[in-house]
Amino acid sequence: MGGDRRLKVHTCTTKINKVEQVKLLDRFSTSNKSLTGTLYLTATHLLFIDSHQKETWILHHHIASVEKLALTTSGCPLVIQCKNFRIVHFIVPRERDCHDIYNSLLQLSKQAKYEDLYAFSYNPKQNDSERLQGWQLIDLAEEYKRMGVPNSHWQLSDANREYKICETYPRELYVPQIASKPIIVGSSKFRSKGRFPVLSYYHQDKEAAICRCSQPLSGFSARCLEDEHLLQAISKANPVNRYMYVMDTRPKHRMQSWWATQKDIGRIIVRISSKIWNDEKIRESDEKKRLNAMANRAAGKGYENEDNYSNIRFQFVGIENIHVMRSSLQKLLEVSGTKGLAVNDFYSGLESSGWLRHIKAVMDAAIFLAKAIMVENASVLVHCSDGWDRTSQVCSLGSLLLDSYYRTIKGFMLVLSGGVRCGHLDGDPKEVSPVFTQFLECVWHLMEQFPQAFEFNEEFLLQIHEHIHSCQFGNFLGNCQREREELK
Amino acid sequence: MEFAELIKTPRVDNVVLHRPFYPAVEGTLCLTGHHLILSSRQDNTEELWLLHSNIDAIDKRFVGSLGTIIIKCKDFRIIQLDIPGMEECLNIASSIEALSTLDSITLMYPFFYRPMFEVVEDGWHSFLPEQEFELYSSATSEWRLSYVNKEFAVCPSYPPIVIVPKSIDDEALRKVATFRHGGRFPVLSYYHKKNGMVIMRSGQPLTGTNGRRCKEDEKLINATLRAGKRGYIIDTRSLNVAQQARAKGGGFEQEAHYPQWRRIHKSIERYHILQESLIKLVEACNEQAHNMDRWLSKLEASNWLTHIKEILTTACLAAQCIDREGASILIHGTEGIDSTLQVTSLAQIILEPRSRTIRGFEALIEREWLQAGHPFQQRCAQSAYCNSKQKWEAPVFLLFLDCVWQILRQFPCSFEFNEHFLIVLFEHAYASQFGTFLGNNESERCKLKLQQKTMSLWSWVNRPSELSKFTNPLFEANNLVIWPSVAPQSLQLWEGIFLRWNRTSKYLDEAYEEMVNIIEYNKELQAKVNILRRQLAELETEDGMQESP
Repeated sequence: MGGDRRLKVHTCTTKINKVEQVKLLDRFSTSNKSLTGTLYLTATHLLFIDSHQKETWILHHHIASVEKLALTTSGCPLVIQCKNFRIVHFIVPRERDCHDIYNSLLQLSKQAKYEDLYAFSYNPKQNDSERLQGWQLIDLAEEYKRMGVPNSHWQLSDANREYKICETYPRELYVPQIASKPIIVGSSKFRSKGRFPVLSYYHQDKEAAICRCSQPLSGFSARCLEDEHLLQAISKANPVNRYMYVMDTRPKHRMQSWWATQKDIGRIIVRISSKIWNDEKIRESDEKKRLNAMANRAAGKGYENEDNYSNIRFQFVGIENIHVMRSSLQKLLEVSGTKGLAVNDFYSGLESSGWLRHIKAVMDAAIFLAKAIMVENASVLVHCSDGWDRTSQVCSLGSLLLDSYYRTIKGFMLVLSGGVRCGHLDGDPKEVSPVFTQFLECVWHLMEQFPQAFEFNEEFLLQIHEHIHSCQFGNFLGNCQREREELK
Repeated sequence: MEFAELIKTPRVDNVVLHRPFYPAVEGTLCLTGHHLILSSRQDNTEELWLLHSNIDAIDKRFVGSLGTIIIKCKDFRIIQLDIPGMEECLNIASSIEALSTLDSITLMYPFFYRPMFEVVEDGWHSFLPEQEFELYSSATSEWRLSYVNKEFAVCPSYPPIVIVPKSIDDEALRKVATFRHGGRFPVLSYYHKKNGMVIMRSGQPLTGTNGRRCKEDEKLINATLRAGKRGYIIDTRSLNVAQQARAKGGGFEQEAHYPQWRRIHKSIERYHILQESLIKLVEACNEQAHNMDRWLSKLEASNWLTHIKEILTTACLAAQCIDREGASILIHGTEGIDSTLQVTSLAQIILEPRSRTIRGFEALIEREWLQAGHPFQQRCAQSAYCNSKQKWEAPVFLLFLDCVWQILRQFPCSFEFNEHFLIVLFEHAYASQFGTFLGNNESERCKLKLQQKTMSLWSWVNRPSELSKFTNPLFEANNLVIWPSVAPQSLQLWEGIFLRWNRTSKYLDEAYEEMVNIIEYNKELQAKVNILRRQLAELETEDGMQESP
């Protein structure tokens, strides 16, 4: 099958498939050395074989950008930037060939339909049972069992069996024992994309939970009793410590403007806390007063009545949104790819890219999360806007800190699939997220500091990073479980 | 004894010690002539022995009658002593101040230290110039040992024995010495056996504003060139600085008088600029609760890694001239005792596999730093916490060690020694019980009779029990030239030195231990496999013999 498909794509999309006398510049050499060889285009890869028969393979889907530079005396330079940050510099002797390759690559690297991706034509030398085994490695129900769920406080809910409540959640979801289906349905209507609070990680010894959700719906004007119930249920599901943290992974300065337009979340918090005080009837003015105080606190101006919110603590951690991250990564790649930099230019570039600042923000959030559970015995509800990128990152990293099982190869795959299963934007051919790169880098930093705490090594992280983009294996295809089931 | 006068309060009880990675401990503080000792009565393991000479600066604070002394060490550690009683605290502080800044070298600890270990090999005789020269004399007959400086009269900062071109007699050397800064006439630093090219080093030529020349000097350095070959002169100063030096009687080699040489200017900083850089870097590393941007800009503002890059770049250039261009080089800056030595020694690390072994590296330090006259006493008098701002204090040697660490990090299997060895050398250069780094040159060391009166660092380091701590388990002899990357992306902060007291290395140490164990175990198994293979081969031949008749 793979062969047929290869032929098909070949004939219909590529004009040219072999160019001789192409030069590949050696980027590690200082004296602009190059290797001469032949360039091939296949349905799935770009292949370069040099005179020493050394092969360079680049998956089309790995190509982030192709650039044709101005013609030089030696030929037409073609610079290919890969999604794993590799940069390959070819010189094609004839401009027409270069132009053809350029066009073909543009076409080949932008296959947005899943069917055309390599994973479907990937034909590894393994039989069906082995393939099945690979997929079975990741069994979430088994994983929750390992954490000790379901138990007397947490149950499996079948509310999302048909993906009716939330399209981007998996079928099996764990919620507090006392949360009934109407409460869940009600809460999901109140939350962006229907992503109501669900269990992400359960700490058996501390009986504390990490839960995740999305932000309350915008344009919302009334309160949502069901959502308030659900949050209460989560806090009650922790028998040791009744107060819980609601952790917003968005930065304060962005929240300030957000506060101005929609104060929904503040309203909820105020309502929930007032409920916990058994003060059912808050007057409008009272609510406003508290709301402003909350806004002030969000703006970092301090807040006196922290003690009153004994059951819910609101915590901001400043992780920027995906757009900021993407441009940060772009800047970082620019700086780290520039040759002949002075040390100071490199460091100011590194600083202004903000990449390490973002890394620290994610790490700080994960540490906060782990401390809340380990030191304070408190449950934590994590959310950002839609509850995928930042929330996934923080929940995954937090559980990695808490549970040594996730630092094994098998456990780490669970973390990854957990993040992916709950809807993480990676694998989308149109939108490749820097968030995953960032997550892997955070893990790498942990490995640097605790070299013996991980079963896997840096190479494993690099392989994962590559396969996120290459789509050679099915795990990262599709944005969530539902999409993956449709794709088979 | 003199020390008694300086110690008004030799002993204070109920002193609380705070230091990195240990819980606070209460005990008795004792001052001796050379040490500050704190021992808790309950447990002998909780002792602190600190050499006074390791103390860089102290601060004192009082809250009521409770005094606090903050001691900042030359190895960047900061410890705190809480001392009950104002008078005791003041006495202790003034004693520490006096004892840590003794003027007389002969009062220093190495003159009083009696080793508790058996000396297997006297380090003072481990690296004799004659022996070092023998390594070359098998390969070339173009060089000779000269004893012209036997009485330190020709050049006070040179050792008694130097290697010079065979065709140049001692009389000529004396003349050249008058033409070079500090009498430092060009001498052989390194001979590249692969192609016979050499590195020479010297002080700047004293051309002055009127362009003085010295025929003997020209003849000397031309004597190192093969017929028709050109050489390179690497001046570690920028052209601007070199030109300004002429006004003070210094200068550089004029093209007209040295037509066979191409001059290249590089700019490596020296003196207080380096010291300030160190101060800023250590300050940045010690600051708690940074945000990321502040940390990065402070790291940048310290300029430390810029210095590292400049030094490494120049060393790579020198190595390139030798190995790639096949050209001999002469290296000098102003005096030829700082940046010159950084470059000549690092070029050898790059070019010469022997200098990446423990013995070879010790020989390199002995030859290119101690005998070559790097003024350790002056340069290492103070460290990152000093306020004295003396021109002669500068972390030149630490920068060299940092550069070696950068290369070691890029070539983790090519060095016989590990990071720990470099750290130990740093510590002993600033404060030590051994005499090796005392004095500013061989002449001073000779007058101090260090060989007779003190113990050599190498006597201690080269004992098998110590050596095992400094041996890199990953070492596999690499006979090639190694080319480090000097891009800023490749250079890193040396955490083992600069974050040593701010961040526990427990997990890294454990991992290192584990690596050592795995490698040991692998070796054992390998040996077993070899024995079994041999047995198998023997059995097979026996079988063969039985079958054959």
